Amino acid sequence: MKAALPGLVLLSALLVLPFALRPARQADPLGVRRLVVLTPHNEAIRYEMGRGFQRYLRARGQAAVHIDWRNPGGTSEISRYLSSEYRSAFERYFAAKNGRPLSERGALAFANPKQSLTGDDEAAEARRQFLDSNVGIRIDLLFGGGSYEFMTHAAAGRFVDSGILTSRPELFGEQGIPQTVGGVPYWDGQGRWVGVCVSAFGICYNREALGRLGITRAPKRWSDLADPRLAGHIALVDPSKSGSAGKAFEMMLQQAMSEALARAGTPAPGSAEEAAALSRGFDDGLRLVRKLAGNSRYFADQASKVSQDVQSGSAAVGTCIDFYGRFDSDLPGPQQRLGFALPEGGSAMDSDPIALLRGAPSPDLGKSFIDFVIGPEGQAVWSYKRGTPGGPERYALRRTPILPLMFEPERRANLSDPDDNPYVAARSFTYHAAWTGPLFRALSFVIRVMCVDTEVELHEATAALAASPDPGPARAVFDDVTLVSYAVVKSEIAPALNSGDPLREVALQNRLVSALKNQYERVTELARSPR
Amino acid sequence: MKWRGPSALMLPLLALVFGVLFLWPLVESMRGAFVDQQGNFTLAYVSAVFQNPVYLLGFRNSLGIAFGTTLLTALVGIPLALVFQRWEFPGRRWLAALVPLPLFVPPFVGALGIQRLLGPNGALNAALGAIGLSDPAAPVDWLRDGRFFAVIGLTALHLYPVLYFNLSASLANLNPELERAAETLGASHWRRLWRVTLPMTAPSLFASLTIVFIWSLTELGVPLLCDYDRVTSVQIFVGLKDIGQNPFVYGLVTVALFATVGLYGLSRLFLRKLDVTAGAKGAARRERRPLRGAVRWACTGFALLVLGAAALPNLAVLLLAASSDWYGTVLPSGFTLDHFRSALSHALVVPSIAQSLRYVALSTALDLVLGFAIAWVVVRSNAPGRKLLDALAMLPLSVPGLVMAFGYLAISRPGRPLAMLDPVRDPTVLLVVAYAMRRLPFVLRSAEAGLLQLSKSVEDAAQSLGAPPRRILRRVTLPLVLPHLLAGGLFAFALSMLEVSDSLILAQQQAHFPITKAIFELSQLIGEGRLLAAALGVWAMLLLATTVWVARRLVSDRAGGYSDV
Repeated sequence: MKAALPGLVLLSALLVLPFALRPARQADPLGVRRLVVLTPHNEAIRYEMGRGFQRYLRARGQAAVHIDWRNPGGTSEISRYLSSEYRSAFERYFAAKNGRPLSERGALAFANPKQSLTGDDEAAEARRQFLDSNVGIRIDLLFGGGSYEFMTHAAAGRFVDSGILTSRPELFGEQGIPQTVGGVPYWDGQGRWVGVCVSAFGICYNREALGRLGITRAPKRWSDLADPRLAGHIALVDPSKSGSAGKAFEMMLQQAMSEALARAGTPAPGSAEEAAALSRGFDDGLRLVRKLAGNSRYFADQASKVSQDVQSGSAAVGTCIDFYGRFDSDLPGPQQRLGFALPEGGSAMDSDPIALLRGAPSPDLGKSFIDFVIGPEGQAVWSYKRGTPGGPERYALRRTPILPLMFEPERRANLSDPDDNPYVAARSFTYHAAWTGPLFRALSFVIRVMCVDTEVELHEATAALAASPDPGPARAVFDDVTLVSYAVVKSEIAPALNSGDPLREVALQNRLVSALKNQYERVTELARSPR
Repeated sequence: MKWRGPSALMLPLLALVFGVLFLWPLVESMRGAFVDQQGNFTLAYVSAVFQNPVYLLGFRNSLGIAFGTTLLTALVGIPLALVFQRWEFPGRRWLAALVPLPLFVPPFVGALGIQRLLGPNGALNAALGAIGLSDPAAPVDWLRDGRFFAVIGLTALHLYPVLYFNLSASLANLNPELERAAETLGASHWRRLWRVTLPMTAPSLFASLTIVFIWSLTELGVPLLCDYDRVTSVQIFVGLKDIGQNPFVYGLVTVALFATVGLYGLSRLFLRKLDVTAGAKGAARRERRPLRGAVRWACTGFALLVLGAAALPNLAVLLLAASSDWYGTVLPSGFTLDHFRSALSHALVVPSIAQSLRYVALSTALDLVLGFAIAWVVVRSNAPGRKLLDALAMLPLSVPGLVMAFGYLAISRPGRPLAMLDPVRDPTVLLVVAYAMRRLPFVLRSAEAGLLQLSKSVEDAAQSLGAPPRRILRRVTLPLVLPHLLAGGLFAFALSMLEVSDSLILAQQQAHFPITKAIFELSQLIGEGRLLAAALGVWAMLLLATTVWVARRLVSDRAGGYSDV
């Protein structure tokens, strides 16, 4: 025992230290009332929003609330979690109500927005019963993600109207938040979800690393990332793992499609000329994506990894969400190294929403929280400088507010990033949902087979092209995107993915991966062979 | 034989406990591999794995990494264990204390440190640049350009303590008489090593190498840190994220599982052929032989080299946590304690420490009870089915933690039989079980190695003197296998403290977060997140190192390899 005494003293000191350093006041007191919030937001946002909500309640003479944050992962994990939890909950509800278990057909149909509500079959019955029910998963709110995921859940019936559109009409419409901005939806017409802040995908770069590579001009456009000097130095995010990264690639394609349309003299909508121009633009966009991927260091599975790696110099350039880029560029010490740019004419400002879940145990508290985050008090927490009255206390969140009045002069002075006005940025880019919206998942699949699954061969081909004294024929093969062209995506890939048959999907994946590998190996061979 | 009675009862009991705690959730998590969308049985998903060129390449790479890691671990761990156990040389005790360091840092925290060392702007390139061996304008990207070998090197340096401690425990308890006899008969050092020492320690050696092989085959943290996604474990990890659309990940898990079980079965067949009773424990204890001249300093140098390389992630995490800026220089350009203060004063941290200690103490206790009981039934009884139980108990090594975590979630969802354990309400039971199951193989292997080395004749002697089985167990068997149990138990404790996958999935309420989830949450903070995570990682390292040191002091000096910790 005596011999262990020094160790025991050290052990006690180590255990006591965090208790001694603990701040006296906790931001989230245990209250009688409880609000359960499912969120992919990080600790900084949870801390500041929790603290801000308690202040909001105090100002209205209400008792403190215990916020139970649930954080099972990123947006895609949360979507999966919601689907499976609602399925289990509805299976229990259906069995209890009808005295028989829910069939597989009913289980597939109850949350399917395409399922007809009329008819006597179990699929229609399950869908009707779900939408009429108050089936819940013991969670009040979904807080954070992209508009695409929220639209999907709303259509499935997992969200209900929070009543915010009628209780705060002044915040929406002509005087407030427009329903769509630059083609992107900012709130749901039925009040099932509303955007509470705005984000866009852009380019973060390390000035020192770029200088080392001989690049003196900071990247301003997506096409700047195709520079061969960046080979092996670009950090990208796998679009099949991150919805926001998928959005970034979609923006690249939309920009290329807009440019193709302009080159064709902006043909009449619906004309064959317009369709041809859009198809050419999509394929041009794919060529750009392929060049970027040829320069990639990796395809990360987390969007947050990229800005951190660029900041540390592990990568020279990366694609990342605006507030990651801004926040990391705000660090003491290395702030001169990291920069962030929204690509000119190539980035839509997407809304980051909140929604009240069906069967929420505390719907009134949930509505209060929505009222807080979208109102001026919550908007100040999102966007004000740290320490500003009404702003964040510990972390500057540096999120772009969605409420236009936050950009009025008296408030603008308090904003961390006063120049990032989504309503100005949206003028330079219009998102056309009809062009690529229905192909969103197919697009992620294409990038995966074209760039991620074939990464080794693609990198070899890119290196061989760069080293070739006469890359002409090899370049032509490299630029051929016939295997995954706009026509193929619409006629083959999207239908296969929408068939719901995983075997069909994997067969397509195997075929395309093999064909694309062969194509890249052919490029390498041509680039290395003497003419 | 008197053992038959209790063992006949224990086997079904253990099988039931293990079946409920491990096999059931495993089956739940694999069911997707064999059930199609209509709910019918299918083998299409498993067979599709073999037709997918990306999965096949991943599997080949995983096998290559496992072979390379096992070889490197043996090359490093065996000489190190021999040097530390057999000879006295300058700094031996202090250096021995550094051996478990690689186990005290969670892989994702170690990754943060390694990136600062081996990244393009890392310390290694800065050092090479300073002596003219690297072009500062075109630095080598070690983690990208040599990913396969980087994974092997980092995994081996992370895992060699597994081999070191098992082999050390075995060497410490070897009967020295046989080696002395060989020496008397004129056998040289090398000949004694090859013909006497290594064969006598074969059970421990082989069991440890099996663990290293299987672990490196399914290792996730290191390939992820090197952004090496063409390996099976990463493919499973990535596949889990779109599991709703991708049932092939279940197929991949199933294939990996069969591969590891097959390998383990082969290793058991080989182990059975080894004549291990010759190495029976005896009463005599071996003293370390003092070395003289240059050889003693060569031993110090060798130990320093290996331990220094293995402790690099720890050192890098420490420097990162204390740095105000570390970019393109060998050492940070400035130091600060601010990150420690910010991390330790964070509201997430204090509750997570208390939770982790609670979860891990319970899971380690469960491991020790289950591990010893299974080992005893396997080694000391003739009960039919004991070998199957043994093989099944090793399965957790080959199952990625994420898959198991999904299995535990599946059996505890509302409406399922174990709904009262729903981790959303309180994850304690499931986390304790998950931690215990994941680390059971370590305790089991250690306990089995201890029992195999303990000659049955010692227990028979006690029995012939009239001691009842319970007394034999308490007074003879347990004390003699204690070093092995302690070795396995400490591994289980340290690894459970740092368990990541189960913690991330099962602890969903902030009030229930264990320390690893708290570190992970801090690392996700944009801005200073990585620095705070490194600071909390340093605190966790110190806590684990001190705990192991205190445990060693509190236990008797018959602690085998741990007498040096």
